[in-house]
Amino acid sequence: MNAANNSFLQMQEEDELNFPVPPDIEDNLMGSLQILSMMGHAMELFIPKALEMFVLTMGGTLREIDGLPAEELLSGVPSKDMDDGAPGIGGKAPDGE
Amino acid sequence: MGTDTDSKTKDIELIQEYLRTKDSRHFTILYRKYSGKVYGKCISLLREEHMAKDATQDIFMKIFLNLGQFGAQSKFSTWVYSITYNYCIDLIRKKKKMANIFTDEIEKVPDLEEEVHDEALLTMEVNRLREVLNEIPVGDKAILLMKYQDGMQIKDIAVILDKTESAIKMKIKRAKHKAQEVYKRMYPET
Repeated sequence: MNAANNSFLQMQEEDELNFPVPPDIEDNLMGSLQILSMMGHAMELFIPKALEMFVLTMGGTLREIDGLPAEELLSGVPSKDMDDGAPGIGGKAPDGE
Repeated sequence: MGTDTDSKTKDIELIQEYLRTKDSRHFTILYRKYSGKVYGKCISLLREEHMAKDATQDIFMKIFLNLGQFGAQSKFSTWVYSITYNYCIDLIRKKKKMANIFTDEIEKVPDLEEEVHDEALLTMEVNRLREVLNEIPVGDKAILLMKYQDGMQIKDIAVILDKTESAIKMKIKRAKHKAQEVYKRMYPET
């Protein structure tokens, strides 16, 4: 049914002409959408890092951070590097002493 | 009919494109297409421009946030208008502290009374129709707008208002009677 034989549709057309949508609604809305969109992007970027930091803080594995093999962290046995440390600093005593 | 189908397809394409790309230009097109009608409905139901302005902004924010849930079972316009009507009805209910503006009380509409023909409302002079609609309860006004302005099906109105189809048919009948009574009271010469 078209507006010519429907007073409700004519009324709607008149209302749209008499009450144009204030332009600041679109400005405010698009501003809010942009903020929401930016927050979404920020979450996508930072949440994985934030989770990683949380895991580390709670004593989780450091493997992703400094590349140490996980089994050494779990067993508590010093790694080869630490065992061969400089004399007097740690690890086994220098030969002949 | 073809135009309706084209419009529906275009709306769905825009929504899908927006959801895929998150490019706000697609949402802007939808906003510009429907904002006039949504704002007009808000003015018509709330009858205050500043309230209508805030309501339109909130309604489009709701639409944006729930766009992913639009299932395309109904037309996008029906979905948009259902959010608009529900938002305005909730606002009026809160303002008037009413539990429900679509009351289920048994109203005295004699069954034998002659059915008000659609033409009586559809051919009413526009300014008179506007005045009549402003005189009847807002729930009745909303239901008449859904049926005669938005061309919604009874089943769509039933879903929007969470009522049965037979309840909606009865409400439309009552609303038409009220509108005719008000018209006769306001314009007794006709």
